Amino acid sequence: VAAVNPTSQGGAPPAATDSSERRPFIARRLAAVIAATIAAGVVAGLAQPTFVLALAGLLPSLVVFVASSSARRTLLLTVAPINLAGVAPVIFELWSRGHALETALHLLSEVETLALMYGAAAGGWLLAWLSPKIAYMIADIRWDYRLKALDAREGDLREEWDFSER
Amino acid sequence: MSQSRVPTAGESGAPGALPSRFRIAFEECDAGLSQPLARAYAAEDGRKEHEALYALALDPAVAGRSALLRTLMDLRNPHLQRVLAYGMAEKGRNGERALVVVLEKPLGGRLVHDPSLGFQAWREEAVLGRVLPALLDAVAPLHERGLAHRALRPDNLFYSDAARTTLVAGECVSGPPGASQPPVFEPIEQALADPFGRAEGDPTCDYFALGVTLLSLLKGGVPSAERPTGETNLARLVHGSYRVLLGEIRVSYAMADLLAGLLSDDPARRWGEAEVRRWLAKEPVEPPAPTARARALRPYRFLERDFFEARPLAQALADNWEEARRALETARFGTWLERDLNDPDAADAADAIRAHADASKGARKTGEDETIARICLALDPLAPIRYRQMSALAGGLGPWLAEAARRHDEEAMQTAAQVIACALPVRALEARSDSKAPVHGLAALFRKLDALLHEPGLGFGIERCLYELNPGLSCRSPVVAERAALSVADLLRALEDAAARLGSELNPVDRHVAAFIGSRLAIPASGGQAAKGNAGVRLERLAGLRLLALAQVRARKEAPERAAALPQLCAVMVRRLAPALSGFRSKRLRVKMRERLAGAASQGSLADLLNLLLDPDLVRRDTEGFAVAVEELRAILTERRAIERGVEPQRREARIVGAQISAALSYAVLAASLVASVLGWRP
Repeated sequence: VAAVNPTSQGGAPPAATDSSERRPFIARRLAAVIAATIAAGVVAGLAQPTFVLALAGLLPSLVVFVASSSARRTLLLTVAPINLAGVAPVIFELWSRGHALETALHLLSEVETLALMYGAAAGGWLLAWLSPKIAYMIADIRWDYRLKALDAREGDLREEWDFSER
Repeated sequence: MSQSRVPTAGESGAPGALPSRFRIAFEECDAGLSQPLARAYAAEDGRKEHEALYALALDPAVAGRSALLRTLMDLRNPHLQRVLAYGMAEKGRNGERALVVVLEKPLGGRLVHDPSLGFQAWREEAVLGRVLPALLDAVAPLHERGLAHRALRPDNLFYSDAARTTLVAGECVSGPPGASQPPVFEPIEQALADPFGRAEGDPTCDYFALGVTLLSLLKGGVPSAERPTGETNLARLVHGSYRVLLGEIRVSYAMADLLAGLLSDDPARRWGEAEVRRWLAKEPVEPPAPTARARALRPYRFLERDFFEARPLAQALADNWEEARRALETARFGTWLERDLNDPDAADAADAIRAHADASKGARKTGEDETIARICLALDPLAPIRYRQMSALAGGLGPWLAEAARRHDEEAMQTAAQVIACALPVRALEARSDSKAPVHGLAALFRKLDALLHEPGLGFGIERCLYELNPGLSCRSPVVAERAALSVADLLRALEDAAARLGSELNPVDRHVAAFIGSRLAIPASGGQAAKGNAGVRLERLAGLRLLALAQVRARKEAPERAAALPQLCAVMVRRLAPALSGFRSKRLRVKMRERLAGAASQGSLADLLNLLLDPDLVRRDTEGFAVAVEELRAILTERRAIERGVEPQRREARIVGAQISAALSYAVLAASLVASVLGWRP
């Protein structure tokens, strides 16, 4: 263990290693942000009401996207689709009402619309938070059950047989 | 008078019970007729009450010569004390038993009670007229059968009639051969041995004793009594027995010839019956010429004394063991042996010294004691084996060991063990025998003893050697010693009584009991294989039960009435076998076995107990079941370890899976939302 632990060998601290690992991730993230900005610019130019609505509705996902590290990508993968699932009906509603900026702003001023979009995002976050815990709990219950079964069988064997050393 | 028990047939040569018609008064000890190693009691024959009898109760701890009893009973000789009956008899109410020999009572008493106190010297005519012919007649029939009396001395001669006219030689079975003889009555090679270390000997020993007896009568005391035994022995080795023992005693020329013939130190030249009878008939008989012995030109000085010959030097070394150790370290000793002594036998002594010196060079380590013993043996091959405090002929090692056991002298017993382990008896026998002759049967026995001595486990060791060397010795276990068990049937009966008396305090199979059974059943050494399986209390007790069971099977064949059922002994064994039950791995089976053994014990069959414990089917089932259980337990432990070791990684995995499930769910919700939106659902 000591041979492979850089700290114990007086090498660079773990933080330095993390930052070196983070560098490509930040670069990728920057590239994604630039691409998204360009795409957003295009969408903003071509469909401004949709862009405003989507930007406002997908704000939680954007926050998660900006705040999440590579390890927390799973949160984004859960929150973003559900957030989008909440935004999609509102966009369709916008399109069905004529796709005007006023309509978009009107929709954004409605509590139900905001509740749908942000509630969906919150639901996504809750789902992302609960799922691993439930899976963890199920696994623990299964192991406990198996260990108890093994203990019981071992007890039976020791009661029946003398396993002492000769 | 207490009446002896009902007679039973003897087994494997062991004497049975004394015929019931003989009544022995064990409460009336007759000191006048008691022998050094056996007490005399008044006796009576129920069928011939007028006959004057007495009985000798042999000490069961002493290796007597009971094998001669049958022959002596068959002999009808007016000059040899007649054995009328013999057998085991109870001496007291506590079950103490002894081998009892019923003899004709010599009405005229002993010739001399204690020769060492001196008595009226006999005239030559009286000695030649009354003593010599009688003693020749007494020993002749024994010699014809290849036996020797080995107890001829003035205080073992009796008058059979009240008028004191007919002389009879006393009994010779109450102790080991020559054990009660003062050393001067023994030929020099026997005299050098401890009293209990003397060998069976041959007729020439009797003629030597006859010569000293005649000399004692002529002197009116024991010859050379004024000198210490060691001095006398050394003088006999230097000057010859005849010269030393005759000393200042004045005898006629004719008598001097007879004594010179009888007291010759060379058994081959010593006069026997033919020469003595020719001498009595006044025919010309040449007395033996002195034996030529190798003599050194220059003496070896040891303890302020000059030695020119090997035999006296060997004796001086043996008598002064510590000084002999120091002499061993000096170069002068080896040089004198090789260059000055001019004796081919001394080369062996020099070899022994070299072997001792080479020990540091990686050769087999030869201890100082072994080296001195080998030197003594090489210098005097006819002498006894001398090893520290021991001096015994190879043939006398058995009685010597029995005496050590009788005194509970552990150090002496270990000395005997070392002597056997060093192969000194075999070396001594080979040195004595003609090199062309086949090695003596005794040498083969000692080779076997070496294996038996080194075999670990019950039934072997020095105790086994004790019983192998003394086939007529009773079992010396403290538990049954007083019962004088000479056969395994007697031993089992004695153990049964002890079990009834002592209960679970009894250890029925101690080293003596095991060795006795091993010897009488001729259980061979396994080269250590048996001991591998006999380690630990459990298997030791199982081995003890096996020995007892074998003994009971044998005893049932030979004396069914004495070993039929042994319920008390079985009950004790069952209690002691609790550790043996731990051999079974199944705890349930142990409980069941305990119940079964208790049931079998009441039947009194040790073999049944053993068969139950060793039932191959039960043992197989237990072994196989245990193997399966071990595998299962191992699997359980492995799985548990795997679970315990894998909990954290699996928890991490569970988290990832949970996250993946949540992502999948969220995509499903997205898909549903899109589909619903396309289909026209609006918030």
